[in-house]
Amino acid sequence: MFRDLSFRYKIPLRGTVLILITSFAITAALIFRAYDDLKQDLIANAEGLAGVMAHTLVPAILKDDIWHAFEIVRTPFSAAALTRSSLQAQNILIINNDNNIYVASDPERFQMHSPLTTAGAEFALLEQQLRQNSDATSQVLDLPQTEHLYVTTPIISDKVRLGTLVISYPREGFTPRFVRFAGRAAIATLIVLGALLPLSWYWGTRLADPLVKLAGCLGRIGRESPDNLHCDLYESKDEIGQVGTRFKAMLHELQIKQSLEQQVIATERLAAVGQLTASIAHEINNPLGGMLNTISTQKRYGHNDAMTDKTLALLERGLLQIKDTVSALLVEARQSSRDFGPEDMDDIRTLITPDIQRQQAKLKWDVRVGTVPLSASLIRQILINLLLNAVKATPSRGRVFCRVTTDTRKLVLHICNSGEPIPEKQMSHLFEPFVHYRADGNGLGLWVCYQIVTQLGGTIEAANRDDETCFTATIPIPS
Amino acid sequence: MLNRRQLLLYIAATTLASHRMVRADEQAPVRIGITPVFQTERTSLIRDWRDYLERHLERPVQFEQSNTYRDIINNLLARRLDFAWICGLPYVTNRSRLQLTAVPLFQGKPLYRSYLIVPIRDTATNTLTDLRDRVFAYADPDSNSGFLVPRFQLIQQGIDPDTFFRKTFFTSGHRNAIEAVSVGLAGGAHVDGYVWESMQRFNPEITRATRVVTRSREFGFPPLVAGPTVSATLNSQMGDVLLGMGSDPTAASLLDRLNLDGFTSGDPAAYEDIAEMAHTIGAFRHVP
Repeated sequence: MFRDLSFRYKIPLRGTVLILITSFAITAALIFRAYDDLKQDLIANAEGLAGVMAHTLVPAILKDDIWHAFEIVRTPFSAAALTRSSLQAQNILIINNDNNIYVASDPERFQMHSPLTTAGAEFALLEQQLRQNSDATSQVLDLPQTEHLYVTTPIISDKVRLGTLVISYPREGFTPRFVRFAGRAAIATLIVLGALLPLSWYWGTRLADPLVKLAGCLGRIGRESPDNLHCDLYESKDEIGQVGTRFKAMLHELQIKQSLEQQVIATERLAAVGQLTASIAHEINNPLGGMLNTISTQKRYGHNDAMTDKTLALLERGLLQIKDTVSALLVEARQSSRDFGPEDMDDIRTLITPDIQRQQAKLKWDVRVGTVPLSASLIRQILINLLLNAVKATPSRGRVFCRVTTDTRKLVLHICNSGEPIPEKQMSHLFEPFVHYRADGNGLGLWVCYQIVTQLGGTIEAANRDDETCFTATIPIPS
Repeated sequence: MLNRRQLLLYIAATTLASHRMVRADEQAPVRIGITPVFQTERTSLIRDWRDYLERHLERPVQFEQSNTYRDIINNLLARRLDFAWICGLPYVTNRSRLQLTAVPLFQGKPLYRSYLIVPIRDTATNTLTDLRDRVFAYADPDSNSGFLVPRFQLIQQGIDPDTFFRKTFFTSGHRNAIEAVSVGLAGGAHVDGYVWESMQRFNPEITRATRVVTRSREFGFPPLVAGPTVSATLNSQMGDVLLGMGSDPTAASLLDRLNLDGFTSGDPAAYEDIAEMAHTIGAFRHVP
């Protein structure tokens, strides 16, 4: 149950328990100490009182002046003394050496000359103690199962023991003082708790918070794509901070890995599609050529009636359409051609200008290229495809940007257009054949570009950035 | 210019006047001993009484007190005191050497009674003999009401007062005896009726815890007496001042606080009863 609890509660709860235990332990220790002090206080008081009284009583006892002795033992009970101290003696007795009562502060209860044992069970116990310890010293008798503490002091005159002074203190006499003290201690504890508990909860929550966030973030891995995992993690150099940093690094690596995987999957898929398409095209091309030859021969030498000619023409057109499509699919990069040069760029510009004007778009032309040993017709095909796509994608009065750069190792074609970005869902199937994004396209333009670039050993990628879409083809230049 | 006769008169007058003043200031004070026949702890009352006497005697007055009658009697006989307010018993014992100065009037008469008191919770005691084997408090061995009376009563009934009680003790005064009974220290005591009545008036919380069982017949009230060396003049002067208190409006509040009506010259014969009792039991000097 507790094990499954969130750290958000577990840490503050543990802190609370610790604080409670500590405060109760300290309070208990203080209270225990106060009880002890109180008792020592009482004993010191009592011994002082008993010492003075025993000394004062000597002449009265020697003269058998009972009234005087009574006045002495009664003094502590005068009204003035009563209000001064809560540690008030309950009874003061003088007992003679035979343990009979000589005089007592409460003469009604302790009849003169009666044995101490007649005064009740506690006094019988006390008498037993007095018999056992007849030392000539003052002592405090803390007898078990009695309601009083007894301080006994011998009354001695010139080494002769005249009797014993007994002062009894009710144990409950110091209860009020003790209760007062305990009450104060409890209030102090509550105040401390009142201050510490919220602090403990605050700190506990702060401590648990990064852990809880980390756990929440970790929990989202697998369920959500790493790209969407934006975790607001605690940053510091402590352990949790380190874990957070490592986690972020891991998340970043995971993102890279996933995008790599996606790229690989897309490339493999395109390669498979390309291979399949090429073999199908070859398989179709061979019988197609035969069929077209046959139709041509028949048309030319077959003495056909009008109906047959019409049918053959229909068949031929259909087969030619199939041939066109198959030819388009069957991108052959091994065509031999002259090298690509600046004059090709001029041709391309001339070719797309009508489309640019129709769209009232603005063309930005940034071409810094010499002659490169790459097939002019292939590069022209790529550029024209990409530029026409860009012009069609840009809104009216939009912008189209063409940059062609080269160095000794590669040719970079960079075509951008302003306008709506390509949706994420289309991005992953962009270079597949027959993927139409416009009503007037055949869905093969980008496929062809991809096939050419790939066959030339280069890469092509699309990216949405800000309010424009860019295609970049990087083609290595054979050395 | 003064003539001779006028001059002589003037000198005589000034001399007399100055002499009077000197006498008032330098004369030895009149020393008066007081015993616990009344509430001796009422210090402010004693001061006021002293001031009254000083004003009327025109000389300093000193009150001296002691816890025992014996001290006062001894000092009086040894001439360390001039006057003393003592009990009837020491008076009759030493009357050959003492002069009666004045006797207080209590409830209109120079007489008082001895009361037998017991704690209020003791409802069974009806006579002194019911207190057999109990603790009994005596006010003072030289007290009539607090010592002689109960012993005489017991002896008259053929009882030995020394063995009749379980324990007896002296309390140095009637007030303490009353208190000893009220707190239960003593099971009973015989006390001066005047003191008990005064306490009933001024300290009812103490007398409330006691019950008066019997009241004795009347005896001569404790008198104020002069010692052997006091001149007849001073004695009569003191007697006049005391006797005058009854009719002096300025002494009214003092007498009220003393719980007395005034003073009378007194008659030595009024103490004959006490003398007879003392003689009968032969207990002039007895300390248990």
